[in-house]
Amino acid sequence: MNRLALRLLALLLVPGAAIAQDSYGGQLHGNFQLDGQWYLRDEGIDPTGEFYPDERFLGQGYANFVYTDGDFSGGLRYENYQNVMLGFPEGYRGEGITYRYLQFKQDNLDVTVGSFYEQFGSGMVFRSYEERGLGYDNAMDGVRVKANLAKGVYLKGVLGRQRFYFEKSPGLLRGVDAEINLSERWHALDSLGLRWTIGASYMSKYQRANDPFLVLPENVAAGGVRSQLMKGPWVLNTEFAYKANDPSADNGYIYKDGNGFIANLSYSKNGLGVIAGVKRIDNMSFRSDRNGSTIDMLVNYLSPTTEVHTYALPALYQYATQINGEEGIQLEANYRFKRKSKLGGKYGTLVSINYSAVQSIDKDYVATSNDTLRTLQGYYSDPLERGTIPYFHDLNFKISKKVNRSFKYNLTYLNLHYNRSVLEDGLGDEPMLSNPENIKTMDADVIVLETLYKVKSKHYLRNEFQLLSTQDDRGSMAMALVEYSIAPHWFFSVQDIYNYGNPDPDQQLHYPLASVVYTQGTSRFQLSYGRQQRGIFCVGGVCRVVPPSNGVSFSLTTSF
Amino acid sequence: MKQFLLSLGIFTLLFMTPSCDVIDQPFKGNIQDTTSTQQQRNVLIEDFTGHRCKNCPKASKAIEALVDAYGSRIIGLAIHAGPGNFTNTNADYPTDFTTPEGKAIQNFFGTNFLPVGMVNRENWTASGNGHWSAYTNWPTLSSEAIDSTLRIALEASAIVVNDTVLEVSTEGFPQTPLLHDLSIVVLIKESNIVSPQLMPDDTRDSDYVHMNVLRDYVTDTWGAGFGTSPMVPGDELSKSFVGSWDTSWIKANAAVVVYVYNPTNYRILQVIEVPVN
Amino acid sequence: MKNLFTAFAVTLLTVGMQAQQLPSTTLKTLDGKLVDIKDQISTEGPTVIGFWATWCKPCIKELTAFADYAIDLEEEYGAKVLAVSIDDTRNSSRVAPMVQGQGWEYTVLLDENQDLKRNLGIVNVPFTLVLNADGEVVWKHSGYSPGDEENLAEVVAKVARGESVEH
Repeated sequence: MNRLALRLLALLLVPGAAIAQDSYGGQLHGNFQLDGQWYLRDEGIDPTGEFYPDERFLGQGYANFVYTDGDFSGGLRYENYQNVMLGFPEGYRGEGITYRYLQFKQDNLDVTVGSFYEQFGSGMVFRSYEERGLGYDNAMDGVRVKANLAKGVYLKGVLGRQRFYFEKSPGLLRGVDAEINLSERWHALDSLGLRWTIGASYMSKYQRANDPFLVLPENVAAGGVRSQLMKGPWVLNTEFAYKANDPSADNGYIYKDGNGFIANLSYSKNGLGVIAGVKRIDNMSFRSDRNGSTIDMLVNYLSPTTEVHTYALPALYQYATQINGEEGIQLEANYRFKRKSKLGGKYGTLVSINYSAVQSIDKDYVATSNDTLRTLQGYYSDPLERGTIPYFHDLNFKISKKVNRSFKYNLTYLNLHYNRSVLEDGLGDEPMLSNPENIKTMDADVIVLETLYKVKSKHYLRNEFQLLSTQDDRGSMAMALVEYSIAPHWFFSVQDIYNYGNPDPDQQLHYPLASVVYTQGTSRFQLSYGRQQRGIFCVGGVCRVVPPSNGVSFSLTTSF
Repeated sequence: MKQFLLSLGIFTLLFMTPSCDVIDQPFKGNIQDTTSTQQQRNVLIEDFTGHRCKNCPKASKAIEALVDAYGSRIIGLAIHAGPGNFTNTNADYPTDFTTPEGKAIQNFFGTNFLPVGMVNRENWTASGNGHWSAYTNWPTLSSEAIDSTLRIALEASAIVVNDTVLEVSTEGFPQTPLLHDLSIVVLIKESNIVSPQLMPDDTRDSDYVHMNVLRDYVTDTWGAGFGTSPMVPGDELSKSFVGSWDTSWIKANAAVVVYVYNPTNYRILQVIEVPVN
Repeated sequence: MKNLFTAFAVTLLTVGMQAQQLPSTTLKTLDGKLVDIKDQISTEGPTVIGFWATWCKPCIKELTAFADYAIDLEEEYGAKVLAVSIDDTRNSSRVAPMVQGQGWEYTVLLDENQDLKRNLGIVNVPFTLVLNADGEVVWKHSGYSPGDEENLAEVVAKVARGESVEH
């Protein structure tokens, strides 16, 4: 124990010292990132200067250290925001150690004290995770126990509070999850070619309540069951979750219970991959502070069932789950035409199609005047009835083909429908149902052609041409990008977005951006100069505007 | 198998015992009238708002509900400050409600969200966000503040002379020993101002009635020294202030708000509201 | 502040010299089994571990571009390639269909809670590691630009032949 404490102390105080102690056989991994931007005043994108920061230069960084030695591991993260960059949550102010933990793992037991990330099933009941690039972090601080009680039986228990920037959530979380791999326990299933895993989880939060008007539940529980069934190339995943009455700022302090359902079926074999999914969620906002908003202190994770786009123009119109209620479907198919077949050509051709659509759920509102029992249920919803307000849809096709040894291309077409009232303004269903003519939408067709040309060994030229055509919002845009890379160190890129279709002639602007990246092993240094468009960043139904900016930015990341 | 069940039982006990409160009758009974002849602890709710912020009317409603319940012990103050897209003027929203002092406060306490507020500026820390609260949390925070001990009683009077000069005199009476300095702030607010407001259903209400709008500070933003430590019950503190009065303000709709706070942690110890004569 | 960063930099350099083993971490296979990454690496030849995600374009480009080299490296040197997906539950059910659609023949593992990514101190995907037959991490690379796959293939070949590799 003394030796352990000593090692720990060495690790916590002098990271370098811990490494030098080679005889212990432990190892240290970690990473470091530093970002900064020097902002320039640009009257084109920001005529009144309301987004121009007083500091002129904003920078932030963090470093993670994880030390592992046999059964034992520990780690910490230091973060600083001096000051936080535009577009990040304002709650990040100052600096400090925001994450530290010790973990002991032996045979069938795994105990963690301090900070940890964990999830139950798909996260509909509980998921704590981080997305550093977006400033999202709801790490737990408490105790986690994982045990493998018997063959194929896994239990997890968590207890703690969630991170809220440099503070902790007011609510306390307590949860347990059990997963049983039935095929590992009953080999009869195996002989039928079936692999079956089932699970169940329970999560309860406690938050003190002292409201003068309402009796608020201080303990709110949620639970879920799930199953994953596989046979040959088929996989069927289903999950159902339920949450008890949880009046909150999100749902307008109604006492209705919540539920969620996700199912998807996939088939993958011989170059063909198909997946079909459905989901429905109703009043599933679950936070460790009933007054929480935006991305703060979310206990659960309701995964969006739409495709993530990384091309710059379609990424301007991303979907975010509407935690108060939504229903949707997704279909995706990928197929690879074989080499030397008619459509496959010499190297094979990959085609894929993806369709997703999300809409409101059926809601029958109880007017306050009719709420004679004064139960504050808010609304009733029939799961078999379809909602009428479309939130989002995306239909896209992709072809990717290698023409010869030195030329490849990807061609993508997307058709997008995006409800700006819901996704940008966060409008509820009730005002939209009563004023359907006021709903703001965006319909667009997007074409992206990406080409890759091999100039000579380790020298590549990559181009992107993107066109987003729409009559709505900011109007049509076109984008061109040229990248030249010299493996393994250098990378140069120049791009320009031209918002030629903006209804406001003063806003028909160019957004040029140039970058240089130097990579040395696991270290990467990036320097960029240019204009950045206004963007929207959404998590869990609330969106934040990322302001436009102009300036010189740099980013240094390294891991070890 | 026995051991398996035992472990399962222990696990469940450890993590699942906490239960769940299912509530059939959400409403509490009426709040008892707590006004008495003796002064009690009042509550200042600083409501950061904007006429182009569509959720902001919900926050003013929350203050209204609290005033209905607790009467004059709840003092609302609508500070129009925050991101330009919520507070700036344009053709549809022509009235400029912003004030330099309001912006200074918003900047100092550090937020860019609206609506958001502070209840008696409790729980301030330099790097934290604990002093900020959503309007949905104001009932809880107010009811807790109202039940707390009064540490200093305040009295004040305000009069406009020559139409352009506002004279305010204030007095303070410590109720418990006070071992820190005190600062005093005097400001003017006005209610019943009809001007457009963006509403929660995304429509523009051109006849919206703005309440508790911060107009001007008579002291500067962080006030003036009022008393130095130590102070004990029986001490009498007093201070007079002279400010300017804008003739466009309607006296009957205006009020002077006086509050005393601890300058080391910004906590407001008492706040009162008096009419303008 | 400056001092702190200098301290970090020095630490990084010192650590960079160290031969590292993989920390034991539990991952999921595509058929739902929990496995330890340490049991998945090859003991006969080099192992390449590529971290990727379904939404990460450069990752997919890297794995696709490397696929042709992987076949040769496996035949000649007994190299093994593990493609570790860090997709969360939004996308983890899309991993298998995508792998089939892309026609990859890699061993695919899921790191849904991103435990391995964190334990190895990885900031972003794509991220590539090469291990020698003794299970020591001998080469690491973050990011992908076209052409990196050629470099990676050279590195794997060198590792298999027991030559030293540099970045």
